Amino acid sequence: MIHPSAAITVALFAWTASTPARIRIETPRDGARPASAYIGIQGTGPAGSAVELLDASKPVRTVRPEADGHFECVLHLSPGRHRIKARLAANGSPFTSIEVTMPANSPAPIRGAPYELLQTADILLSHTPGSEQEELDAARYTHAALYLGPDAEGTPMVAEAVTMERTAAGNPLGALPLERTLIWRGGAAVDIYRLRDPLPFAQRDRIAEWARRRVTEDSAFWSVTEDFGALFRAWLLWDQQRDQPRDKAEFNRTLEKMAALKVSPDRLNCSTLVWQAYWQATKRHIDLSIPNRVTFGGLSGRMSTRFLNRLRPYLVLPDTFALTGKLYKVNGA
Amino acid sequence: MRKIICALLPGATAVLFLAAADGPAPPTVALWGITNLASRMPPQLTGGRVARGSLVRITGWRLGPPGTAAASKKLALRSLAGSSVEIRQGAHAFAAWPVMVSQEEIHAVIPPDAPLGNCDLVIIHDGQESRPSPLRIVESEFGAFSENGHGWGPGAIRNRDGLQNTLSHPAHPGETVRLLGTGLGTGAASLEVFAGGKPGAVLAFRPLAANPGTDEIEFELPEDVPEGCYVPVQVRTGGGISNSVTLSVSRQGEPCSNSSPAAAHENLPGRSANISLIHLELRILLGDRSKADFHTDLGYADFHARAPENDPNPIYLFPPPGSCTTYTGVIRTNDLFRPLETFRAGRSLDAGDIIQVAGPKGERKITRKNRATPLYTAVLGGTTPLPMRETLPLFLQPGEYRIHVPGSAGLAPFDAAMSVERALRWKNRNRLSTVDRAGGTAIEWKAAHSDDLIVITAMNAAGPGDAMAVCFCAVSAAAERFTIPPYALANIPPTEPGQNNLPLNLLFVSEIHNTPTAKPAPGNLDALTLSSLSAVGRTVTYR
Repeated sequence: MIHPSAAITVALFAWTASTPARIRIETPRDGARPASAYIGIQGTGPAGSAVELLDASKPVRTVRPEADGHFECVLHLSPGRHRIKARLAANGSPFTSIEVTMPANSPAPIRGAPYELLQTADILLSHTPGSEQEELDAARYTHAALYLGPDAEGTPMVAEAVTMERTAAGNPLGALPLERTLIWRGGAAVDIYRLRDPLPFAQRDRIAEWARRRVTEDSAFWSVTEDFGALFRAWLLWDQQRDQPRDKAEFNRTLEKMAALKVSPDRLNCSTLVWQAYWQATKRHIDLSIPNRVTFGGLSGRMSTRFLNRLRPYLVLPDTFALTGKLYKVNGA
Repeated sequence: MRKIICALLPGATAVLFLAAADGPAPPTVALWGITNLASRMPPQLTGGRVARGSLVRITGWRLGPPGTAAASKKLALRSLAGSSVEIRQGAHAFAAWPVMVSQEEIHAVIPPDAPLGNCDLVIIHDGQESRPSPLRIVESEFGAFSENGHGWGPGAIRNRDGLQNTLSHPAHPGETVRLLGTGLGTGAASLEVFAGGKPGAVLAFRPLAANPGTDEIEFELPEDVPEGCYVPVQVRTGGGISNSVTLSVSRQGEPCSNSSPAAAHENLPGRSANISLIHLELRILLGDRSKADFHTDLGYADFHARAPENDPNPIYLFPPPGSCTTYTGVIRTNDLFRPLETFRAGRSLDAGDIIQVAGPKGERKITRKNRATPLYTAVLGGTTPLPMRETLPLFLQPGEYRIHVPGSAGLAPFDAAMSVERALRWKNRNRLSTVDRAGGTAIEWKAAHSDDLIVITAMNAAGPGDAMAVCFCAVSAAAERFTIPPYALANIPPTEPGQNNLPLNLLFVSEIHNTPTAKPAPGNLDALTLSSLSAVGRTVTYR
């Protein structure tokens, strides 16, 4: 039998060996020029320690490296040059620093949001006034996106899927600097959601990586006629008088199509992109679509409950994330 | 001025910022973003292929420098303002000639010796290459230029005197006119031109040396060309049928006249109102065994002030009886929610919050969602394919209906009366499940009034990219039968086997009955159109 003190010694050794003893800023690079008024910083340090970040000599944030030593944060900095330093809060050393130049002109968002709270794989939910989704289901949130972490320049990057009409400067699917996203451009209300059961950085990074890969490869946004059309077709197949399918086999075929669409990595909408990133990157362990507690208003609110419950397993909406219970709102209740 | 600067500043800042952020990113060509410059037809449709020697429009992002750079005419440049366009097939590359470049759009001439078949198009800007975009090049595929540059509406057509054909300067039957377009390419031997559905004699066709990529077709209007303000013109080359543009035709040389009061009023400058009561019968077939029938009564009203510079509304560009016009494009989610607002132009007039309609079955209201919504719409009775808050009994039946418009500070209140006629009967609706695009399809009906106008609408949207085509044919109700000609159906996407998506594979027959109106009070409205419309539709298979 191993003596308890030996076990503790071994555990401590393993822990200290696996976390870096000194502080490093890994992203952004020294001399970076982020394309954002925000800068995402990632680094490593002794796990559990308090790492203080300073802008020149002014402390701006204290972060705690996770068990594997990673820490990350997002800062909002004024235009121009900044020297960002990281040090152990306890004794002021060891010490590392980088210089970054923030852009002079950043577009203002419709409504400010606490982007400084972002961490990799956070889910951004927003409400865009005039969105079709308002009319369709009177949703609280009309758009979802995934925070990917910073690029090498420290630009906070976000993966999102939008319709062709709403795309800003790229294809409907993209990994974009924060200020180019629909979240920023159209979000009259923006909230940040995170898993209640925290994931280690490496797993969050895998989720972000899955999304980054999908939006830069050959995935397409949902087609109006084929994909969104399946939802409407299901409704047409529902006999409103008898509150049941007109043709059971045809209705089930349409549901099968919707089920296939939900898990298809080649055809994505804003919500399935976020949902699939979690589901695929965690090897189907994290399913943010169940329980699906979305409530339906607008046009959908006029549909029968029985019909909506048949569709519920195949629908992923921005509100699905907010109401699943597996996430909490980072920026308050 | 200060206000304008304040309004522009955030946008300009955003552009500058994004431009800076875009630095390292390569050019990106939009999916399905390469079209004939004149027709702008989606490339998934038959007539949307690109011909050798034609002008193409390439849309995307970071394609060129900020602002717009245009090549001086006659020059075939390989590069313009740091942007070039390359067509690749296997190991071979061919330079296209850019004639206009901007950040989000390039116009270029496909070289006449470009390879036929499947190719890739690549944009190179500031040394960075876009990902290859697929492109199919054919010998010939004509697109006709329209005056508004969108590929529909009045065409770039000159009468014999060299002046632009307009509503007030129409051509007459037998006159020689010249149409501008692009894409005759190398396969123009089998060129045919239709005006109002009648073949016109092609007298000459030639590339315009002064405008690389532009072709001119000189043709004679047939003697039996129908008169009208929006006579459709289509061109058939070896491959497919072009987009439809229109010209105005008048036998005696006076300004053209329209086949429908709505068409006459809706696209003219001035203050006008259009109030319609609509009875719709729609059958949607779902799979092999089930169908859904919807009988709906709708109310619709639009009050607007149009300026001369406003684009026409294509919904009201009715072709003359006996002919068909087509529109092509890509369907967007917005179009599904607000289909009637998509092409609306002009300033909305506030007619008050609620328009009252009183008829044999009582009263109903036509409302707008809010003051920002330009149109007044309401389900007056029956069921619709969209989920409804409550089902009302059908409201419209033959008889007189009184309309009260409450008005506002900008529009005086007024009352009007209109008649609703018995519903149209589409006699062969049940039998007509398949539309033969190559052979045409015969429609038979029994109308309420022989002097009404029948409008037949055929449409479908299918496949990736949501490409859509709609064809409108106008016929005198007295005819009781019309065959939609193949030229009008050619660009409608065929129904795919097992197609089980949004059922936009539709065919409608509609009867428009207009109630003659007294001239509205001067200063309030310049024109008032009161229409009752009976529409019968069904889903069909397009073969």
